[in-house]
Amino acid sequence: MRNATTIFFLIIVLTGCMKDDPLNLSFESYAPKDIGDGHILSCPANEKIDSLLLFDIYNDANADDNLWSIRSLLVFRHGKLVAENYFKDQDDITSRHLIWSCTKQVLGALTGIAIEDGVITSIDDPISDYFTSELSGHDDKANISIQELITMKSGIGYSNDGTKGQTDKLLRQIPDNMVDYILSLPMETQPGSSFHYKDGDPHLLSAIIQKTTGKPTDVWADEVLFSRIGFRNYNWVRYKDGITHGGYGIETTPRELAKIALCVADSGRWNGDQIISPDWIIEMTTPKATETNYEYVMGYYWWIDTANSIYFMNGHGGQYAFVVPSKELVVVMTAIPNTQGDYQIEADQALEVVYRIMNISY
Amino acid sequence: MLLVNLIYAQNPTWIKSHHVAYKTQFFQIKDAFNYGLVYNGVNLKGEYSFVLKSDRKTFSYDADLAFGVNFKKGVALAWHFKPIDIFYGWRINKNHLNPLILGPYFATNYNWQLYPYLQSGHMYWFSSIEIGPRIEYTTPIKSRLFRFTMTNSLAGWASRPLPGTETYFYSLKFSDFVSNPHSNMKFGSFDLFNHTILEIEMANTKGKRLSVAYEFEYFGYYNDPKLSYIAHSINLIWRVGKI
Repeated sequence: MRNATTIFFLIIVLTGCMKDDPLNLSFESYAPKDIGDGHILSCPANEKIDSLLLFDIYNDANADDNLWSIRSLLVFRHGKLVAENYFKDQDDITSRHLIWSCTKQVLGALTGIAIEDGVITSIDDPISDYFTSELSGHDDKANISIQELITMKSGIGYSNDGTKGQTDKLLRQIPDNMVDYILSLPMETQPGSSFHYKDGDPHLLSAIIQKTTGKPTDVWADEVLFSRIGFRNYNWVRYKDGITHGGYGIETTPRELAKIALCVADSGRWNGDQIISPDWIIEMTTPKATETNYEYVMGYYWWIDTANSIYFMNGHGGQYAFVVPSKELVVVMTAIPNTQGDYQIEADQALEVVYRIMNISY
Repeated sequence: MLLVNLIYAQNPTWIKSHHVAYKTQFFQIKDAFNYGLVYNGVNLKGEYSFVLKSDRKTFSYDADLAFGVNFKKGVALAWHFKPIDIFYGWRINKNHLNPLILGPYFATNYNWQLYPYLQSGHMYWFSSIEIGPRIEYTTPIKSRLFRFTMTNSLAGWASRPLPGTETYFYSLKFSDFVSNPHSNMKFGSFDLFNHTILEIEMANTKGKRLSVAYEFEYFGYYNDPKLSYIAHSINLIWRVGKI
């Protein structure tokens, strides 16, 4: 019997030894490639970044098991792309991937344009100025303001739980009319009284923009923002009722995502043209929701690391674009998008990389 | 059952037996779709077998169902269902005390996996409808009877998820558990997939209902996205009914 047991375990040892494939490609160079997408290329030394230490940062990111899901890391300084690497697949330089809630920050920027263009009269407008028939039977929502939607203080009892909450229904496209579904939810707090992170508020905001402009938010966004900053390699999906998603929905590349962050970093300018009002950029990146139950506070959908004066886009699974005004830095990091819990790159982990880059930028 | 009745009716000298087996499996799945990570886990499997034997021929029908959990980056869930495994074999040697039985088998296998931590909302699977040879050799060693069985697929249809772009939308319905493993079926032989099962059974000696077996299973899918599956199991087999 002892011999049989030994043979059994020997068989398991000999045959049960499949090895994981390497999660990342070997890292060799962070030199950016010219693919004609409008980015100005440079090198770290020319932009006063220590190139050897930057190499170490990329090497560490490639080897760090805590960052195993990292897909790309791009560094821009003075508006120029100085370093990039695609850890899983070199084709990711042009391959679109989900950026999840980074879509909210795009919507935050678009709202500034909507106000500047008169699509939305005032950020203090109640949503009843825009939703008329939609609010029929939902009078308790009439006094929610645009300001409260864009700071996630609507008070609507919407849960972002992807398996049991309303976002599950949003993802699976269950309700026929998502706006009506969100508006029919009970109120959990008074509008404006407390922050509650959710996809419902930006979805309503997108619906307001769509109704007012008379065209899908993604189509309008292409006219007023994307086409003007060369943001071309993207797709922004709509709910089945035709409303462009506000809480998530954009698929794009890290280099394209960087264009949004670079425009914001340059006070709303792109190649010298003022695309977004500089006043809006200031407001958007000034804390508005400070009791978020997260480590970071929120402006108009933009997250803010107040201790280090960094504002950033943040999408599920580890999708980030960081703007560091004090160093004229923009850092984009993307990751495998559908990871959950401990298996996604958290903001503090990503920010550790950003802090290291800040420290070698002179 | 119609097939069973036909065989039985043609030759009443067949000896009929029923077996149920409980299998504890250690298994590994390496799926290119899942970043080539190897998930290790445990399956608990139940199997039913119906066997008809005559001096020169053997017919068997097997079905099994397994549930398992496996681990790597978070926990994953796995199911296996084999509704049909039919074998018809002939003794090809003259020594009926050490019979060597060879014949074809036909089997359908369905395997599902969910990786909620890494692939939220998405179902993975591998399934096969296969035919191939099975060889079985029984011999006494000291006071015990040992049965060695080897099964290997020769050709058939295999299904895996299609390489697709990421999507925000998913809808996992109960019907997907049926429709998905039948979608994207490709026909092939060793260029497409290989399914091997080796079993060593310390067979029930006279008057004993319980026997023990070690089983090794391998499934490899060689098109993209590639997949490898290995399972080792200890089987407790109980013969039911009259001995």
